[in-house]
Amino acid sequence: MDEVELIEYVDAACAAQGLTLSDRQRASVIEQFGRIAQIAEAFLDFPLGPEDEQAPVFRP
Amino acid sequence: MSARFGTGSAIEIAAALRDGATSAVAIAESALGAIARVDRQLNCFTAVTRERALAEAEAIDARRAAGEALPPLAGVPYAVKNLYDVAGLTTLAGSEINRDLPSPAHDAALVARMHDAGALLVGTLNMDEYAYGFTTENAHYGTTRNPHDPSRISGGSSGGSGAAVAARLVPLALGSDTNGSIRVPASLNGVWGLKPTYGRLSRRGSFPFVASLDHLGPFAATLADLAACYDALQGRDAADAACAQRPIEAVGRTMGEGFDELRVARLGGYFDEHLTEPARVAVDCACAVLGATRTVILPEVAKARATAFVITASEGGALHLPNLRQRYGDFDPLTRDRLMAGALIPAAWYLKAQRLRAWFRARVLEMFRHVDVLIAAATPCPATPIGSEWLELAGLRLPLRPSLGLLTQPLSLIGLPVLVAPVPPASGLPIGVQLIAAPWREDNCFRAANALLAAGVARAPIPALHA
Repeated sequence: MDEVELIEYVDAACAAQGLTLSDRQRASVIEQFGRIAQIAEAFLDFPLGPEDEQAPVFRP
Repeated sequence: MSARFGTGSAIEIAAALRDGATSAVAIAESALGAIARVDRQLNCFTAVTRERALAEAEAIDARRAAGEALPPLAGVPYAVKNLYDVAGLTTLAGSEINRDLPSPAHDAALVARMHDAGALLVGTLNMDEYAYGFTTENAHYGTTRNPHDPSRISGGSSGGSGAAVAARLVPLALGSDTNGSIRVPASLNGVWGLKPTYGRLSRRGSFPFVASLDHLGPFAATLADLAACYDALQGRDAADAACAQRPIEAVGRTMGEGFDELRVARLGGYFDEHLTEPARVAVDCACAVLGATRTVILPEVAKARATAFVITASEGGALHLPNLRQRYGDFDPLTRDRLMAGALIPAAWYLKAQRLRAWFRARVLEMFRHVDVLIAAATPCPATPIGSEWLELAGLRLPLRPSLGLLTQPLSLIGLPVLVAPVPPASGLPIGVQLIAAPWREDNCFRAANALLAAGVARAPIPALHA
């Protein structure tokens, strides 16, 4: 995700979530989302098999 | 005993009460007096529950006068992080927003268990807003200061809990740990702390942060007190969906059984790369005492830490989304934009993080076939000055606040039990080491901790307050 894509994503996701931001808030949220995206890059391409299910199990 | 701070150890207090050397009301008054004198310097407490403490104390004194056998923590003052429900007191969770919530009718499950054990609740303690931080620099309730150097942070998010115990305002406190929020303040304040196995202790009646990562646990100034408190907190609770419904597996009687047969190893790689010199010295010292000559490398720890970061941001952001829409300006500036960014995380990122978490867990559990206790530093460094933004570590300039959890996050991610032992240097600020065991083997954490205590390398130093 390059910088333009990141900004476009944050704007679109905020609209979808019903979040209205001032210019200052928007700049800060873009910065924070950029940090998250950078950290997530560390594992998003890590190969996992279909047997690697997530841990939480709903027990009725 | 350190009478000038108002309290001795929990076990000493309970024994003195049973022996008739003092009354519960006198103990409560002494603790309340110490809080009134000392907490102005530290800002650990957000509420002092004087009436409740005295009422609980009077009830204990009445039971003693009637000749009843007293419960194990009878007359012991304690306090809780202000995300625990206390009947009649609004559960702040470090926020301004929660002030508008109705006060709970019932105590949190663990507060009720402390009451049943005879303990006296003297107050609620400061924290990072909604537990999203490692420094307890709270815009609404102020910064909690480190008793060993009030110009420095107490760690977080259970900073009030760690500092109150370190200052001997209470012998016991309860906190919560999602990514390190018991272990970081235990390390920076030089006290004992326990993050039990995920699901061991009931979370009923505590304000959540990240449901799939939240743990509750105790702090203490002595290891014996930590064990006594943990044993009092254990037990099933069908009302908490995350509670594993285990029977009580008491550690108080087993922790002195020796550690000779325990296989102990040092965590290397990632855990060795994120240390300042004081942290490295503490780990070396613990490894020497416990005979940890072997080093274990966990796979993909940096990725595991990254998954904890994303899971935290996503679940925390989603939890607070309604208030982020309606009351953005009422959040702490240190948390609101991180929560908002977290609420925007794509589901595919979150689910990939949860799946990698399961992958990491399976591989670490495999390692516990060959080792019983792992050792790592609890924090990369001792307490830093209040307001610090950066940490120099391994030649890198890292943002300080998230980096305080570098060594704790990968372990809570997979729910392992971890006991923090304070291993202070001969002079200078305290720091702690993590004693890490396989799930449900808190007993091994305590046995290793007891060996460090017996060797004289682990202890909770008394700060020079009032000096």
